[in-house]
Amino acid sequence: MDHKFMDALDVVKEDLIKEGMATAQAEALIRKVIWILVCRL
Amino acid sequence: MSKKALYDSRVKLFSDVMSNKIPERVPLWPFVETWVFHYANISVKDAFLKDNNLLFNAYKKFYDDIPVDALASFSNTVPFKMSENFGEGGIYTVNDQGVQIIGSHGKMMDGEELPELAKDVKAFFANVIAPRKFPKLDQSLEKNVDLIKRSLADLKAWGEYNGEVVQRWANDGMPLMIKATNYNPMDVVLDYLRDFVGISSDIRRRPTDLFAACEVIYDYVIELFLDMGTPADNKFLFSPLHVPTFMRPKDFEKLYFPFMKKYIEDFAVTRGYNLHFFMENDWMPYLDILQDLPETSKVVGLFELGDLKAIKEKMKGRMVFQGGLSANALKYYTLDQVRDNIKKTFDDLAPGGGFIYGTDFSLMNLNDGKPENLIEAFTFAKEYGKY
Repeated sequence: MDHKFMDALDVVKEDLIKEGMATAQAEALIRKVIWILVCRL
Repeated sequence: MSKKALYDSRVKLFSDVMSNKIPERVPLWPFVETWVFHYANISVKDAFLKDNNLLFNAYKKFYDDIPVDALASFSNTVPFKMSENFGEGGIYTVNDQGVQIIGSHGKMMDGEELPELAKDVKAFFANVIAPRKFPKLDQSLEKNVDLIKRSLADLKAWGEYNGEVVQRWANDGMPLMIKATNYNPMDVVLDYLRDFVGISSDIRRRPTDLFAACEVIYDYVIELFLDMGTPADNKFLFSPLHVPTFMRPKDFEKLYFPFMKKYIEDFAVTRGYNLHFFMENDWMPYLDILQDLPETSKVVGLFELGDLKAIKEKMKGRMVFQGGLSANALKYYTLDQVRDNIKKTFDDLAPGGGFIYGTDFSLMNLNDGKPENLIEAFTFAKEYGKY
């Protein structure tokens, strides 16, 4: 892997914020995605 | 009675119990999951992925035929369409018959990695566990960004798919009484990180590292829940307790119990949430330790095995007792035996309140319980359970 997966998550987070989502909400969504990947799927 | 009044009357049974009041009658709340789809002859896969009318209708047939006061789960708890984006590596799959576990993916890390997890759980999950679990993530950053964005859209659609159904049940007078699930960190380690052999070794060989990892996982779990802004009301936050009864009581007291106690203090005592613990297996050897839990009426314990009357008495003031309807009764009893069993159970457990009647396990397949026994049990209990 040529990057850390968190880097990709951070790009998505920044894009969500650019699209108008509040920073705290975008951070919460990324936390949720990480959790689902490890502990739900 | 209007559907709204019916809904309110059902919720009141629970709010009375959780406020130390004697309700009009014992609330009836079985844990029934994919059993309902078999009973209604509906494909689980179609109900989860294709048409949420099927999800609604399967449970509606269940609660129209069997007089329960609430649902415990909507069953569709894994976002399968989101999972498909990540290719191989997921733990679960769904077919017409139900949700299946694919192989054994519980061991995703070694015990030596626990200190790294404890340093930064979010980074460890994202950068170590996720790529290890899903080989497809070994691709360019741009492709992973697209993948995450597609997954977010699927996650949103899954939430809406289920949310519509939960609202329709509510409009039909039937409450879903569990609104979120929070895991004890030790159960996260067991179920998703170290598996049974791994965590058993950690308990013996590196308890300090295990405890430190659990501290950061606890904080992560709690932050996830608080992110949602879910208000405290009559609904429950659910926790299935998996690992405790596989631990020696002294290990349980040292490693698991502190998080259980802290969770009750943080959420039931401080924030006023109703909590629901599914106490799997036999808790009799742990009841003395549980006496150090805070005194509160905000916690339900669903007990599976043991001397139920003794458990209820011992946990009085700390846990409302749920259970009483066994797998044996549902599978093998005649209808006369079902009624006799309910009389004894209610005579033992109902006096003084603090009792919710339900199954002591989750019904998944049709052979987990004969429909006629379920119908008889809850029809009879609705009359016999009047205070």
